[in-house]
Amino acid sequence: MTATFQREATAEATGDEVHQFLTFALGDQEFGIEILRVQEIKNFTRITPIPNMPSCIKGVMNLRGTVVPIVDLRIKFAMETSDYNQFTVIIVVNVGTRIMGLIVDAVSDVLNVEPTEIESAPDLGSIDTSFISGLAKSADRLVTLLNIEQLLGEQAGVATA
Amino acid sequence: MQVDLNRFRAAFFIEADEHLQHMEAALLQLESASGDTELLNTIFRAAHTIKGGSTTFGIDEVGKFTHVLENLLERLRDGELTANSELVELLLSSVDVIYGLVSNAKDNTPLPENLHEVFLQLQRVNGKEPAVGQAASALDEQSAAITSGSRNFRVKLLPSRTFFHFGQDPLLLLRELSELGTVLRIHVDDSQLPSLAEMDPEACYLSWVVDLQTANDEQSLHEVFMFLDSDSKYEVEEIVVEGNEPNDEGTAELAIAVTGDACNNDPTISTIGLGSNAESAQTPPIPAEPKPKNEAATLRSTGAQTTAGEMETVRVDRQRLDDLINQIGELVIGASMVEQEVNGITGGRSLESLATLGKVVRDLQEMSLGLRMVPIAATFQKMNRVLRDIAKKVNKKIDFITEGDDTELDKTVVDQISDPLIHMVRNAADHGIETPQERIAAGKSEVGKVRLCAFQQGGNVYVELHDDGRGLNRKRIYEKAVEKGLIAPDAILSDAEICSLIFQAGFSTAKEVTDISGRGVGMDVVRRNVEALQGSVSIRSEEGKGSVLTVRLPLTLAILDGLLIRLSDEVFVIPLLTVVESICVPPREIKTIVGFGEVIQLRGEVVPLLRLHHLLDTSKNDAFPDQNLVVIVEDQGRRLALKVDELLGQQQVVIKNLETNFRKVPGVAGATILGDGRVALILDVYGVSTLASNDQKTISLATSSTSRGAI
Repeated sequence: MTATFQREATAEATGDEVHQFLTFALGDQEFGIEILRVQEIKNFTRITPIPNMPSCIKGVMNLRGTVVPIVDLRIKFAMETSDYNQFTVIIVVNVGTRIMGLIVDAVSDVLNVEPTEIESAPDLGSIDTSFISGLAKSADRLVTLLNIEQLLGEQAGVATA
Repeated sequence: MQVDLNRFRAAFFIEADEHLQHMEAALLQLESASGDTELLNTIFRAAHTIKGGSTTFGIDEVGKFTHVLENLLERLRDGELTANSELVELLLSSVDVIYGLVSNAKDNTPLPENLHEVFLQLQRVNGKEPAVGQAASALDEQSAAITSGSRNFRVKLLPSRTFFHFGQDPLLLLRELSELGTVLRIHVDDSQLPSLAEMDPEACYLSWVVDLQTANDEQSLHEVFMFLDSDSKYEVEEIVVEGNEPNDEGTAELAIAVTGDACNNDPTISTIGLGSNAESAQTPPIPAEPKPKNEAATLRSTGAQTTAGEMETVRVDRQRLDDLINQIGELVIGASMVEQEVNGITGGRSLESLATLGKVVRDLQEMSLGLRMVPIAATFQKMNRVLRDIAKKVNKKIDFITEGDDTELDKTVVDQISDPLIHMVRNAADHGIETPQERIAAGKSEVGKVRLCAFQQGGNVYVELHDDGRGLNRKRIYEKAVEKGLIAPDAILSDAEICSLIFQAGFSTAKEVTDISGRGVGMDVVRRNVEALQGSVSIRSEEGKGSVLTVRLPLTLAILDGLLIRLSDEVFVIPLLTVVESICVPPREIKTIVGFGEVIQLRGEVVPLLRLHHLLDTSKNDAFPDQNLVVIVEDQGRRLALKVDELLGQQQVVIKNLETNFRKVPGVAGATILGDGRVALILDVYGVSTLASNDQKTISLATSSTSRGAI
């Protein structure tokens, strides 16, 4: 609780400068999404598969009456897949006007990052890194910050027109 | 306050649109019934309301323009002018100009190009003496004679208590009155004024009686009170000058009696003021707010007849309505979840209370869906105008008939069917109907006939467009299709198949491209738009005699009767409308046709068999390869057999759009949430068959390449 207060205090002191990210784990890597994009975090529930879709799209789920597509980020990032367990959660995010769910191994915490602590994504030559908005280093952690629009834009059907 | 004004402004734009629609509709009718005073009154009322509203919101261009238009309308109504087709044309373009001006004020769109031209024309007609003939000018003189002698009127203004809440000011009204003539006397009745302690400072307790000598006619007095709120009353009474000086006390008494009763819609109150002039009964004197509700009420109280279209309505934001319907949809799901759970506890014994709940919920859902239903009449009306304009442009004579205008459809469907219908009507007028010369040469009446009708059949609404034009030229369509590479040069097609070629993309047989149609984007756009509404379109045509385009539309987009089926672990919904039957096929009756796929024989008919497991990729393994339960579906005259694992039953499902949060998925029309809370996909039968044919193509490609390899 004290930690939260401190965080808020620092946020106030520096105005809107501090960015907050929800961090989550995929395998042994840590990722972050801008907290304002996150609508809620759900336990893993039943997902109805959609035919003839890329494998990272696991299907759709019922979020209180809304049909929400679900993306498995492990598959999206071509990581080794693992079975879903009791820690597996779905992060429900807002991408533009759309709502989508992301399957991740587990959520960790909320990370406050000063803009100066964010490093731009490394240029890896031919590898597309446009969905990485930066890298945040804090203490001994290295968190990859994701650009949700870039990452899910195509899934959200922007490019299908 | 600013916010409030903006909200009213938005309401004004919506209402202006409606009034313009009414005007347009009445004008089109006026063309064939030029003397109809009721029609003229409708037009006049609409114009006047727009004028008043636009002035209130400071949209002066609209106000000024409508004012000139109103003058012209007034002369029409007074019989000084006759509504010939030229004049109607001018009035119709005036309506267009107002549309333009309103949208200019609303969305800052550019001003209509013909604004000045039409404005000048209006003024010209207004300025010049009517060229209609002696009778009219005689009438003119007569009315001039009446108005030149000044008359005395007694005007009573009986504001409601809430008068000031509507932003009205009695002073303004009185001032306006005094500008019309000489005020002989003015009397204020303050008998209703309570003691200071009891007084509500925002309420109006006063009423006025004004004796006025004026050269204007009674109508202009009525117009002062055009925008009075519905609870306030006013009366206009002509006083015969000789010795009939108003009696002070009597007036006061009357005023008290009426103000005390002002909130009741007592018909006698209105008749006191209105009985004096029979003509005034036809024009509603108190169209207070431009709301149909008040208008209807006023018309009733003055004893005039309300037109059939006017009903008491409440305007509701569409989003709120959709939210309500959605929530009720959830309620239905919730109720069936409860039912399942209770059945689990009671071991299948159903409870009466639960059954009652279920019924109420279902009724509620049905009612909520009914809220979205609107008659197609407004859309048909639009077509009338479209056809008329085109007929003018291409010099053809066309009669337009609509039938089934009151057929109800989902608001979304009605809104979205407009564009395809415009395409169809344009095509019919431009390509379908011949020129008068051609028609006479073909032994037909010079005047072409286009009939648009709507009717409901089963869960669908059909909109048919009949024309008695030249029909489809099969030979040309065939040649064109070959030329465009749509079919093979030696393809043998049935008559119906040739006709349906016109729905293919990039197909247009018009010899030259006109600005009306012939760009080759016509009919395939129609087809795509209609299919987007889960409908279908087809054509029947007889060469030389005409064509019939049939559009089939679902009654509503929100709900669907579905057949629930199981494939492996997943539940899918097949739209019940497409389902013909379901049967069990013994394995030996499944035949494979090389390069085509599997088929079954259904009472002599060969029907392609689609294994949904493969197409929908649920699990590539067919759980019961030997048990061949198939559902026969029909789509656009084609039958397909879909192999499924199990039939689960029939259920009404609420359609959830996948595109809201995702995108269009081939073969899937949408999703729905089942009673147990899981999501089930709704199959799009047409899409599934396309998936299948794509599949077949790849298979046949593969086989052809292997066979070539073997050689």
